[in-house]
Amino acid sequence: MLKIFDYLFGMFSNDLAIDLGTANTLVYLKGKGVVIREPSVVAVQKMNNGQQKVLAVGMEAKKMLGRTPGNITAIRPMKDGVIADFDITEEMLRYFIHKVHNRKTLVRPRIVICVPSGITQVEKRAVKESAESAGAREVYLIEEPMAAAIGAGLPITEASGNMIVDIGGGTTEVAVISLAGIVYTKSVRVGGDKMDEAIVQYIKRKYNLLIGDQKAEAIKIELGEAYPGNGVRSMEVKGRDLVSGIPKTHEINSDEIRDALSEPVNAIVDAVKICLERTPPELAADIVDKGIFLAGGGALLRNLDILLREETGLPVFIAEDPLSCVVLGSGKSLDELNLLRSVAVSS
Amino acid sequence: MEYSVDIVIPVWNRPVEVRSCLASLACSSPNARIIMVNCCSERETERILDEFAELLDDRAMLVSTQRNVGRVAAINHGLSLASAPLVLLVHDGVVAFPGWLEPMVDAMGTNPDIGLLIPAKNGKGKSTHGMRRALLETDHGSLGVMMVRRELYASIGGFDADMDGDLWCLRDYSRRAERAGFRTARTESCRLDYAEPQQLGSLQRQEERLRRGAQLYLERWGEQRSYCFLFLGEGAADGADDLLRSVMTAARQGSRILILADKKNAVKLVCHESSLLHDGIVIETLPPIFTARAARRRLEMLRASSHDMVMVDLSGSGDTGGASPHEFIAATESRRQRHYFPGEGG
Repeated sequence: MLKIFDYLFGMFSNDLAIDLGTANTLVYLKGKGVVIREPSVVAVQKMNNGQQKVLAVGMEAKKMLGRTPGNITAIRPMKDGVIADFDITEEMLRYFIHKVHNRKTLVRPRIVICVPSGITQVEKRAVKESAESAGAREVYLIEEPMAAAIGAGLPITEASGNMIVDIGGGTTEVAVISLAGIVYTKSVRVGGDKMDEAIVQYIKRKYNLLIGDQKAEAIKIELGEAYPGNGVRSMEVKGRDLVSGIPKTHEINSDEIRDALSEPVNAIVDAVKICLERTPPELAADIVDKGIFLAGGGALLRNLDILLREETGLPVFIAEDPLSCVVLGSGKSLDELNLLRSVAVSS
Repeated sequence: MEYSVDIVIPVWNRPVEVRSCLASLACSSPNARIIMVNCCSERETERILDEFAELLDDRAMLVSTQRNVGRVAAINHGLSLASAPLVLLVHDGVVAFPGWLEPMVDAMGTNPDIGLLIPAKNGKGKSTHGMRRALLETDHGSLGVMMVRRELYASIGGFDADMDGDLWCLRDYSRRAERAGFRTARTESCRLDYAEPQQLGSLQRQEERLRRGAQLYLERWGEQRSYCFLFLGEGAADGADDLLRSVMTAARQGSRILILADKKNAVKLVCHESSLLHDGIVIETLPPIFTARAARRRLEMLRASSHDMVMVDLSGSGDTGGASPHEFIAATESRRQRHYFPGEGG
């Protein structure tokens, strides 16, 4: 009987898949695709009694900062892939669910939430409860590498091994997947944010020039590369000279940025190598045949696939839409309930 | 662009406080430039500084020290970069409000001999600009909020980073300012709710720093004295111009002055050209009846409780057993000329 109701409710509910990333949150609406792509930022105001009042979430929060005076601070509830603040995470979930979910229907949505693979039981329960109190009927948790693998189109239900490297904002997760389960996973707290940070520190050390995170990200996108490519690109960067204190412009090139990114990139390469060493040889042989798949925003770093190919000797491929892989994979699982039930982690 | 005020704020972490402070300064001080001295803060705070530097553009300077040099050295660094005629030192716990700067700028403008100016503390955050409130001289400023005349800085240099970074360092700077002909004052026309910067380190270390600061001050400026004057009887305050000027000088040198006076003399003293408006000068009005007896009792109490207090006998009778006015004036003048202090103009 319950299954019939479930089926009936499923016909009317606006099921959602949410990728709660360190840098960005993506929301997939069943039947519509990715409908939200906003920064995982919450603007809070500290009250006199010490409590925090949420003023805005996502893009609105990012716009508020630096424009509105007062005691408004930005909080990133997901730090290095870990939920640092559950209350704020709940507020963020509530905001995105309400923004997307059609409140006109009487049915509460089924929600799939992507979580980091190293998540503890306590955190899983907390995320589930947060989503339920934010309005979910049913909550499923999927580990991010699994979602990324589904989104990348890998045959995860088969016996053969698949390796996925999901390079997100806060973490990089390397996972070997077989028979709809994660056989081995290695997570490192290095991702896009650490790359931006590395660029900021490099330019500060070399030129005594301070640049913001957004500029660093723009430099990463424009000039960043993991392996030398064809030609050297350069661009002008405006920052604050830390000796004179006034704005200053400097030219930097791709060779310098490659140098700046070497530490975080090498950390990712090391994680992949460790994963390969520790994978059972039968699955490793499958990976040798099929190759390594890159997903997440970090996969877009120029020539990272070439570097990994050089270091591991294996074919390396970049997923078709690496930025949306995780949420697309979660969304795909919404359409296939059996798949969802097989890949979801229990709390 | 020329700014009338440069605001120097040393920063070391405390991102919430720094954001509040900078946001309030940005909004309430439109004619001031903000000089942020970053003492190796963590990235979270550095982001905030960069955010405000970008927001304020030419109105901001953001400099970083290679290592955490401490508050006093950071302030000195900020002072060396300032070019406006007035430099306001602010610590990150301060939250400014619209109109807060104008009373201090006005007070500095109308009193060119004031080198250091602090706002009155623990007010409700309202400026009483426009109301006629006196400037009260004091023997030290505050690293919480203090306006420094750039001319003074050019003359005597920055704060002594070897001292405690607190009371004795401030007293030393006020003494150096006084030697260069500048006064330290507090203005009642700007009231601000602010806390002094927190002193870091263990209690033992803090006490040790205070002791070292006090010792250095003693070596440079000599012992701080306490004096008691008795103005009793018709005309006691008349013709005491030289003495009262010396009293102000002594107070500016760090001496503590207690003046016991009957009501008539008390009124004359308050209205005197020397004003006697100094933190270090207390005028106690004696009761109108049995005044002489009250004066004797008060003097006995003072002798019993303050062994180092010097009674200055204005009557010339020798009854108080203390110094004569002439001796007091000579001693004050001697202290003004005798003591060495290092590093002027540095």
